[in-house]
Amino acid sequence: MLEIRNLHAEIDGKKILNGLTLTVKDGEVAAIMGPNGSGKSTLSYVVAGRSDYTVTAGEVFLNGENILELPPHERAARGLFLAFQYPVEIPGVTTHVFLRTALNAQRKARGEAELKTAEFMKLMRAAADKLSVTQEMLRRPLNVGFSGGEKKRLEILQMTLLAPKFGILDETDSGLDIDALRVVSDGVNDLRAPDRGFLVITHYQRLLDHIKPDTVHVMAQGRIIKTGGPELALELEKNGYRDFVADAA
Amino acid sequence: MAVQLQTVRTPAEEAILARLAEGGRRHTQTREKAVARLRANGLPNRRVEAWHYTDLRTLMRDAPPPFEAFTDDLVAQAMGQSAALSLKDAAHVLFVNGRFVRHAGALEVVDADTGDQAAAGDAYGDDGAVALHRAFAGRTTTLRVPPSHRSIVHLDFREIGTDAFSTFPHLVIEVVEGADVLILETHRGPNEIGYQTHALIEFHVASSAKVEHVRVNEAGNKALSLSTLGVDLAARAAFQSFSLSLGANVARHQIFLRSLGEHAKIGLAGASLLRGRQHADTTLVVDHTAPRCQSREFYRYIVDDMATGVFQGKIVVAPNAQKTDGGMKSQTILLSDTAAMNNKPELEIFADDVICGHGATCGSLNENQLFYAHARGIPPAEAEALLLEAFAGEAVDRVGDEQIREQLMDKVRDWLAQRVKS
Repeated sequence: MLEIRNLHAEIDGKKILNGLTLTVKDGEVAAIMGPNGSGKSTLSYVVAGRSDYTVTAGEVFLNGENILELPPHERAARGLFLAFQYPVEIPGVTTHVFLRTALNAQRKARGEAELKTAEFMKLMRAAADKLSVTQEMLRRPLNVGFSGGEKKRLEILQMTLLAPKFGILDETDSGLDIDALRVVSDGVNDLRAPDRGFLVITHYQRLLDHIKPDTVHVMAQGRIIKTGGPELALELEKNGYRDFVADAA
Repeated sequence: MAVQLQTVRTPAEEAILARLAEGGRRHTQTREKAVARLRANGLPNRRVEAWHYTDLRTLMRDAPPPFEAFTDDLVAQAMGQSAALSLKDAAHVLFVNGRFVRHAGALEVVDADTGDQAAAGDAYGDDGAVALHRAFAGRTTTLRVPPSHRSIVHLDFREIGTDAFSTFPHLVIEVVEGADVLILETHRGPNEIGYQTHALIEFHVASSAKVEHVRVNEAGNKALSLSTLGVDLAARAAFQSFSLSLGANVARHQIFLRSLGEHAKIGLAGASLLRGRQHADTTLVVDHTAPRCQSREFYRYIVDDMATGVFQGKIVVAPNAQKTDGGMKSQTILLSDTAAMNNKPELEIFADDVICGHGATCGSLNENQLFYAHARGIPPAEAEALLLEAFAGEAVDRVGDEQIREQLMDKVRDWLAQRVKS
């Protein structure tokens, strides 16, 4: 369960999050929609622990533990996963080496035995097949020269392997064509589980046709201004954000 | 009237000149010229453009005597040690304290007290360090690489001893027409001893011959390690050289390469991993004197603590060297605020139909990459090591031989592991 209470955060002295409060229960898929500049990506970065943002007030609990004091890698080891809007290219590090390093680092942090290469490869192959990630892609440097769709599929592959307790998807639909959107959404839906929550950040209703949310939150000016069911997303798609933003201002 | 600036000689310069005055060395034209040069100019220093960032007058505190005390014991002791790297099926050529000791394997090796070393003239006779080498070098080891099958050679330089000394090995490697050779050159010596070495290796590569050269410098932590490669390439020759610089207190690896015939292919690369107060310099001159040759230079530096890196790369394209295709890149990651890097790329192009480019970057580790790794659960020290390994690895990837590449990466990982520990 992810609980965000009265979160305030800024970057370079500019306030982005202004008292954001949000709870996503185990098994729940919550969507956050909002116009550009409303602070959606900032929220994902702050929860994941990016150091260029300063949290000035508030708390973030993951399964009851306040994670704001933890460095990013410890948040990850406790089961938090952020699928990046723009997955980072790392030349010289092959994809499967990166994945194995990440998985074993998390296992080590949790006091679990590290996976041997053969065990890992088996796990990775199974997950890769489902997401149409080829062996050739896994041998290439991480995200280097990958298309937008390939990068997003790889994000979901990583999430599958790392099996987090909570996943944040930051505009995972951006840069995807219809087919890739379906593959990615199927990958996420496969991971839905009673003990796992998701926060899906998106601009568009389109993604929510595939990943059906339980709740929809509208974000503007750094806080949640309206919460509803899936019908709220349809309403936004029809009328845009203007009414909400005007209300918030 | 020209104003002559008289520089006060350093103790090292005094010692060198006093030793040369003792005589006992064969008189050759080359040596006389070198000695005269040293008398007139002293050690190369920051006033000499090519040595601006590696001022030997300052960095060479003293001039230990050339090593002379060769004994069977010494050789036996050296042979009991391990090389910096090992290579299966290689003709093993062993040098102990600069002197050729023995070789095993199918290769023609002639070691002799040579007459005039540079009778044919070369492009680096004016270099101050080469002058110092020529003033003291005695013997020349000549290797002839035969044609037909691929030769594998390991030039294994081992330094041993408890007192400081200097060595000036000189090699001439003749690669005949159509030959194909892999040459591994390793240097390893004791820590805590201020020994000084300068290996001068001259390659004469005949037409259509192929050379892959890999150099690993693991000189001791107080050593001054100079290295000069002179390379002449005939038409359609291919020459690839990679250098991994890990050791020595002060290291300078210089390459003077000339393409003398058309369609020669040149690839120079290296990785330098520096920490403490290490100083490592790579200086190269690629002189395209014939048309339609290709050259690529790719160097990476990781500089930590208070260490200093230097990269000077010069590509010269002669007026007739049309259709030259040259590209040079030097990239550095600085790991501390007190680490320093000096980059000096130069293009001197006298032909009008060429493609030549160069790029140099210098920065810290990429924050986005680090955060991405952290967010996936990789702890900071491990994430840094992963990125640094990849950074150095992209240079090591230029090495064609897999057996060597793997061992080089092991060395990179060892270096990084020490960093995590400290």
